[in-house]
Amino acid sequence: MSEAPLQQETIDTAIDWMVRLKFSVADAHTRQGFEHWLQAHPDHARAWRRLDTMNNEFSRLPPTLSRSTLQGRFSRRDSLKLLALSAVGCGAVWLAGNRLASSPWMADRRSGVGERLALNGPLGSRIFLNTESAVDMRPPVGIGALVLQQGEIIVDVGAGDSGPVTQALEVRSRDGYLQTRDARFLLREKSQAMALSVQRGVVTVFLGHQPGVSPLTVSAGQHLLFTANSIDSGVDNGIDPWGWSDGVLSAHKARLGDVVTELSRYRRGILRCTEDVADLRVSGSFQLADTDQVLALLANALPLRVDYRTRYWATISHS
Amino acid sequence: MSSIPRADLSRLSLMYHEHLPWLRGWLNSRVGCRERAADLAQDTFVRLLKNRSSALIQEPRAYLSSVARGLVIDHYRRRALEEAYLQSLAHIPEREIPSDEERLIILDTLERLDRLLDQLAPRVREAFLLAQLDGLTCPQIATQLGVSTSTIERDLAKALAACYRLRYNDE
Repeated sequence: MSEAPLQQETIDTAIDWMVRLKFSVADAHTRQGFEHWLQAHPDHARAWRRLDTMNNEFSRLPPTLSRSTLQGRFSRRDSLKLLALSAVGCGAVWLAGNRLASSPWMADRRSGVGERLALNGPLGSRIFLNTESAVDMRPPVGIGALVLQQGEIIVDVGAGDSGPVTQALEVRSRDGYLQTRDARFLLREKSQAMALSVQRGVVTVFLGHQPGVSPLTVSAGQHLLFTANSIDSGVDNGIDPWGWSDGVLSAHKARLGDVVTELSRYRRGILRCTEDVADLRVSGSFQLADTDQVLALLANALPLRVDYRTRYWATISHS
Repeated sequence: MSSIPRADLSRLSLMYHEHLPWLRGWLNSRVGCRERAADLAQDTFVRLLKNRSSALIQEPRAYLSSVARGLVIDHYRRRALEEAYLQSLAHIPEREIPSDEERLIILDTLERLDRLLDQLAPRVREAFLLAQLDGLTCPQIATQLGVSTSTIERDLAKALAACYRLRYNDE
């Protein structure tokens, strides 16, 4: 399409009109105001047409079948209200208990900075550790379960010739545990929450240590942030969470600040960027094996310079 | 589609010949089906053509796999949705079961809706479904969810804005 993009303001106004006209009972005065707006500028009519097309598609859906399909996809959508009601902080207990039970240095497998490991896990699963990550798979835990103690892992289970496993694999983490028989998923411990992305299959999530709260089902293509007592859909920052499994950082219109934070996980020392460049947008795929080269590439493509105070202290700023 | 610079085309065609077998193998290891992997490999290049991406291509395979990863996720998302759809058919009267052509359109629309719902907060999601699927008005939704009408109006505006971004922003 060769038309110029519409102003955000125009889109927002068109949305307001849509809410008033299509989702409410509009009086004659409102309709008149709308007609006036619609004719005031060709862009107004264009924004309206786009919204109207979008809307008509959804309103043609068969209600019962659609709702049932979407809910089958997400039993978590059913659980949401329940969660909000019962989310009273038992999470802290779980958190403290979990931490005491196994500290990262007691893990049996861990990866260093910039290192990635592929391991055979319980029940024929494959476990991939990203940089600075640790898992515990020692028996008795390791028979049908593993503990993510730090960092980020990809778990692939049920993909082998034998197909889905009969016993569910359990993955425990700071803020809750997961169960699955057949899935490929990614779990990352962030400072505020656990991030879960499912690529194949279905994963059941049990938040924290809260008996009585129904588990959530997360299926292929879904992404979720959870803490011991809450869940959130999370925000797409333009960085592909799966990139590291292929040794790359893939960004699509991501903030430089976010790219730099992500990159810093893969190198020792300090890497930061100044505030005035943090909002620049970056797209591309970069090899994680050589982060210095990534910095050089970024500096080449954007108006940036990289200053190395020492080998382990790099600052990115405007050139 | 407007014209693609010749340099981009020849670069793309070089990538195609050099890396297609590798990409098929990579995809096959993710989806476990040769035919599907071959289809997705084609789709990957179609997407590159469409995007005319200005991305920094440091390493063609890294770049191809980053595009293909998104398609693998879409593939499994669609499959999950189709399974849920088939299960739902069991619960509706036979005369309401859509025809094959209708089914494709419905599934495509549901896929977009599913992606959208993923980005919305729980109440916004519910309000949007009540408005779009059940045809309730803002005051009716407000009563059902126990919040004010103006809150629902804001919720629906948020949902429509997210919808618009998904649909038109990557043009």
